[in-house]
This record gives sequence, C-alpha cells and structure tokens, in this order.
Amino acid sequence: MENSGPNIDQQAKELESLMARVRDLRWQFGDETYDLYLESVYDASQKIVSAVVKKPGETRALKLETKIDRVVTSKKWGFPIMFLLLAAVFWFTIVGTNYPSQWLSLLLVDTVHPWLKSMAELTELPFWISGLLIDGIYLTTAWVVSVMLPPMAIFFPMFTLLEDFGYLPRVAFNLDNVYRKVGAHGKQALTMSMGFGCNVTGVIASRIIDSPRERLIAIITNNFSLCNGRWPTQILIATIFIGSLAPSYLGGIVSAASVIAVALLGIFMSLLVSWGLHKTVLKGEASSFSLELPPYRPPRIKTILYTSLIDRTLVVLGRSVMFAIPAGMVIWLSVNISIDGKSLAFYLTEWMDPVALFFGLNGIIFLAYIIAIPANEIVLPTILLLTVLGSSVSGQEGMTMISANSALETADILKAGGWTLLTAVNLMLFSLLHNPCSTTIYTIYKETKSLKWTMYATFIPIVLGLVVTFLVARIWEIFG
Amino acid sequence: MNASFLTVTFWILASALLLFAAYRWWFKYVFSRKNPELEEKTLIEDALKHLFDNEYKSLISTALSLSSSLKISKEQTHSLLLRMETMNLATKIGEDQLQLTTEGRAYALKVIRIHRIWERYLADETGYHEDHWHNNADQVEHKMTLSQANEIAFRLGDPVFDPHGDPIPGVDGTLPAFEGVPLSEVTPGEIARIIHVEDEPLPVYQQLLAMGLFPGLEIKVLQIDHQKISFIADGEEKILIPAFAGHITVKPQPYTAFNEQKSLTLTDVPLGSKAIVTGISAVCRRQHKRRLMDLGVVPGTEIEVMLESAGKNPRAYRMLNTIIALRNQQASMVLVEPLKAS
Repeated sequence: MENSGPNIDQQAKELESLMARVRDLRWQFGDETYDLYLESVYDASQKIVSAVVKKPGETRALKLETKIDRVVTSKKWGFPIMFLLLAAVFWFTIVGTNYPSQWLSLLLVDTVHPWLKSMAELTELPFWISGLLIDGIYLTTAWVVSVMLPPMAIFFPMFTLLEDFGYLPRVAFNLDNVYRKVGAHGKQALTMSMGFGCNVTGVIASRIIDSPRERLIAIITNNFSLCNGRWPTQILIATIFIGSLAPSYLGGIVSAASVIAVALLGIFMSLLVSWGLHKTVLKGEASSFSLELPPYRPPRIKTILYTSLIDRTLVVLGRSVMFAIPAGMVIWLSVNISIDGKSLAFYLTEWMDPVALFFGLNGIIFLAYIIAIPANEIVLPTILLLTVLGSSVSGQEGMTMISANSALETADILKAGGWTLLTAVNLMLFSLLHNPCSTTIYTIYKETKSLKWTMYATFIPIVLGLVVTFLVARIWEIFG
Repeated sequence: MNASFLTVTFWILASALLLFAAYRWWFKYVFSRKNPELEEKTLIEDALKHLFDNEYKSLISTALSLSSSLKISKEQTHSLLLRMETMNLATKIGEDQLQLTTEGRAYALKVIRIHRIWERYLADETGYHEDHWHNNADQVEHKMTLSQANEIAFRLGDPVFDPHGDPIPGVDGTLPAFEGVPLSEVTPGEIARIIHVEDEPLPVYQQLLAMGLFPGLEIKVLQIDHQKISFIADGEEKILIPAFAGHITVKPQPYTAFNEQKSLTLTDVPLGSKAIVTGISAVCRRQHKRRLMDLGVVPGTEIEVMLESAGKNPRAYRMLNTIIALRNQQASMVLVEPLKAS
C-alpha cells in the first residue's frame, strides 16, 4: 500500500500529459474525429452488405408503393385526398356516435338514475347526501361517459388505422411546406391531428419533435385542434342554431360544414400563432426536418384495437371521469346553496352577464367555462343546467332535465334562456378559442417544466377567443 | 344589483388589471437595468479579452485602443485601468503600452473559454441563428462559472474549436500558437482553407455569412491588389474589399488540387434521378450533420429522388432502402455526384 501512492501519482501525470497531447493533435488536425469515425463505420458496413447481401432488384411491392406515394403526395390529389379522408373520419364519428350515445344515456341517465334515487329514498338518505352523490357526481359522470365514450371508441381506432397503415407521415410530408413557412416543424401536422382526438395526447406526442424550440411551438398551439370534449358541443350547437336555418334536407350538411369551418379556423389559428411565436418569443432557425416515410403495410387489427381502446380511449375517459366528479359536486353545490332564496350560481351569472353580453355571450356560458375548466365535455351540460335554473326551475328538477338530451328539447331550453344566433356562433368560436382543460394544462407543465410556457399556452387562446368573439359581436351589431 | 353598478365593477377590474401590468413592466425595467457589480465585472472582463486578443495576435494594446474597443470615455478607461492595476490583472509598460499580468492572462483565458464553449453549444445544440451566437455569448460569459462551462464542454465531447474556427482554451489555460494569415496577405494562385471568420462587427459578419464564407471552406486566390481581392470558393468567383478580407483568416494549404466547379447538391438532382453522396458541406451544423450521417448520408451512398411535395420542398429520397423526406435546406448540405440515367 505504501508504494502505491507515488505510482498512482505518476500514472495520473502520464494520463494528463497524454490527454494534453490528444488535445494538441485535435487542435492541429481539426475537430471532426467523431464524423470521420462514423464515416468509416458506415463505409465498412456498406462494404460488408454489398459483399454478402443479394439484391433481388425492385420488387412489385416497392413499385406499387411508389405509385401510391406519387398519388397521395401529388400536387393535384395530395390535399383533396387528405381532406376527404379526415372528413370521412369525422363523418363516421358524428354519424356513428348518435345511437350509442342515446343508448348509454337511456341506460345511465333515464334508467339507472331514477333507480338510484328511489334506492336513496328507500334507505332514507338525507337530501344533501343523495343530491351531492346522485344528482351531482353520478349525473355529471353519466353525461360525460355517454357523450364521450362513443366518439372516442370510433375516432381513435380509425385514427390509429390511418397511423398504422403509414398514411400520417405522408400528411406531414404534404403539409411541411406550410409549417416551414411559419417557422414550425413538419411533424407539428401530426401532433395537431393527434390533438383532434385529445389535446393531452397531442401535447405528449410533441415529443417526436427533437428541436426544443419547435416542440414548444407545437405544444403551445396544440389547443387549437378541436378536441373530443369539444366536438359534441360544436355539433349540437351547430345542429340546433345553424342547421335549422337551412331547409331541412340540407340541415345536416350545413351544420357539418359549419363544424368543419370552425375546425379549419382552428388550424389557421394554430399556424398564425406558430408564426407569431416564431417571430417574437421563440425566434430561431427552422431545425432540420427528416421524416421517414415507412413502407405501407396491412393494418394489424388486434394492435389497433388494443392501442386505441385501452391505451387511448380508456385512459382519456378515466381521466375525464376523475375530473367530472369534483365538477359535478361544484355544480350541484352552486345550484343548491342559496342566499335569499336565490342560488349561488344565479348571483355569479347575474354578475358576469354585462361583461359576457359585451362579447356576444352570456354569464351562464362564462360560469360554465369556469366550472368546466377540468374537462371541456361538461361545458354543455353545465350551460343547460344553469339555463334551466335561470328560468326559475328548482335545482332538483333542473338536474333531471339535462337528461333530456335530444336536440329539440335542448333547443327549447336554450331559446327560453335568451339565446340568439349570435350567442350560438360565439359559443362555437369560444369553445375553439379558450384555455385548455386542466389536464392539458397540467400535461403542458409536465412536458415543458416551465410555468412561463404553461401560462403562454393557457392565456394566448383565451385572449384570442375574447378578441374574436368581441369583433364578431361588434360586426353583428352593425349588420344585424 | 343594477346594470350601471355592474358596468362600473367591470371597468374597475379592467383598470386594476392595466395598473398591475404597468407595475410589472416598471418592476422589470428597474431591476433589469441596474446591476453595478455585474457591470463592473463585465467591463473588466471585456478589457482583459481585448488585451489578450492583441497579445495573441502580437499587436500592442494602449489606453486608446482599449477605450475605442470598449466604447468608453478616456476618463472611464483611466479609472478602469487603475482598478485593474490594483487587482493585479494588468500593468503599464513604458509610456502607454498595456500588458497582462500572469493572473490577468489566466483570467482572460477563463472568460474566453466560457465564451467559446457557449458559442459551440449554441451552434451544436440550439436553433439560434449564426448572428445571435456572439452577442449571446458576450452576455453569458460574464455570468457563467468555469465549472458550468466545463460541464457543458464535457457533454459536447470536449470541443477544441468554436464555431468561428477559433481554438477553445484548455482547462489548464493553454491555447495553441496563433497561426494563419489574413486573407488579404495570401499570394495569388495559392490554395487556402478558411480557419476563422471574425464575428465583430456584426454587419461585416452578416455580409460575410451572406456570401457563403465559413470556416472549413477551401478557396483559391486569383488576384490581390489594394482595391479588391478575388478568389474562387465553391465554384464561384467572389470579390471582397481588403478591409473585409482582413476579417477572414486562412491557412495556406500545401497541395495544388482544387475543384473549381460548383459542387452539386441533392437539390440539384431532378425527380426520379440518382446520385452518389460525396460528402456533407462544411457549413452544416454538427447536430444536423450527425442526423444526416445517422440516416446513412456518407460518401458512397446511392440516393434516388422519389417524391416531390407541392412547392418542391420537402422532397423524399430513397437511401439505404428507406424513404426519407428532407427539407431543401438540409438537402442542399449534401454534396453529390449525379449518376447518368441507366
């Protein structure tokens, strides 16, 4: 042991002088040793491959693939095919959702809810316990499940099908030109499409973008993709107020077109905000863009069903249920706690009304958006409930009335609540342009680890929403 | 509750918000401007850099050269020099000449090491544009500690050059002897390799960048007189005035083979044609270069142009039996030799 001291010292000295010599050599010969090494590795492996692997020549599959690629990325057909495919996915979702939603609502709201109530009466539960649990928590949860589950169970598998087939990278390839011009990454087209399902998925998917600057842009602008929680609001309001303006045989198409218009406005806004960020707080050069266009392959049905139903649908649904529970409690409490015979919700609504009307909305909508920060899908139920209460129906009956979710009855409730075409249009716009739901905000924070960017992502859409609704309201005043 | 009361509430809230915003702005304004300690540190470190730079290039530093370099008045320079002398960082020799002490030189090398490592980091790992590197590093060098810089250097694989071609001082404060000559002093007909493009002042640097001149580029000097310098770089004849040429340092090369043709890149290859990779342009940033190499873009790889998107940017290429889409900005970094259609 005694001898090892000086020995180690000497070794350290030798190592030091060796390292110094290495550095001197690097100064002399340049800094590209890694690149040279990589080059030699590729060179060697290329030689081995060409010596050992037999090339059968271009196979038929490859030729077919090239032909498909030439069509789906062509100037003439690329964009129409893309829009048609996305429109088809949305159409299937809208049409396919109707019946399962009604069945679920029939089961959960019209059958189970009265049964629970009667059980509560049998066991003589106090009014506030049964109200909070059954009218508050259970009903809100039931609404969320019956509204959200069917579209997710249809949308996610279809989207995963396109993904699995290999079409989505081609979409990114087509759209990259536009995204490059606004200083964003081509893969933002992919994260944006994921956002159409759920913004949380979209924000997490932004990890595929390797440049931090462009990843931030993708994360902040993801909220401009209409998410699953907002599609039902859009569709229902469009059907009631805009579809009804057209002759009945055109109603469906007109309302679908207005929803697609809102979604396109969202895409436009995401490009605009990306450009704005790129020009101001997130300056920088477009980073490298390399995207593999993988070979097309027959979809693997089992994998698709598993990833879309278990990984996506159940996870997203589970989360919204978790948020619906406290929201249901808040709604029930705000409706049932009363001062001087009028509920808390009534006062809040009255107080916000003048400001809200200024923006072409109303106090109920504002209150609903505050209560529904945890999950967008409970916005409409909250609005309906609060509107019913505004027309002086008692809380108990009001809670049950939202089970009447057929479009016709909803229309009657809203029109009785003083809604005009302007309210409907501005609600659709505000539903697109407002803060992300709390889960998304939390996810943005987890992904960026920055309060500052989380604030940007939260407040940019609200400010845009208020500006847009304000302008629409003023223009409406002039021409209306 | 009547309507007018509510309107008043709204306006009170709105003005409160405005006041709050104004307050925040004021707070930021006051606290971001005055930091006397940092200001003095910055001044001293900038002075050290100036003295070291002149010493490195065997030039003489004076109080005058210092005041014009730091853009401060005579009086300020005087008191700055007094402070530096008491801190034992610099001394006066004779009438006017300034010299670094051993401590001063070590300090200067430390600041330069931080500056150049940070520039290397900006170039390799971020999306900042070239003309932001220097100004950003000029601020960071006064705030970052040496151990932080060493940590960054370790993660970057201990780089020995900054992105402008200057050597980064070692941890022990060594720096290789200055080599290379200004472009204005090369003999016509000689082949030289650009080893440094000066990043100050910014307008000149931007001009040189726009002309496509960067460290690593090989040039052949054609003619030099007191009005202009002409040379071939990347297959094009370029002309500079001597004042600008002084901002470029070159190292004459011993060999005589020089490619006077403009090198072709992937963007020059038409749709459906094939080409063989000959290299990656020296202007390509390291992170992009490695990405390209990871995809298999190395000399000898055969590449076929497969698809063009609307607007012809990006395009998709087949390399190593996979199809990869690249933006034209990346594709123009790949030097190729086109293959004749078979």
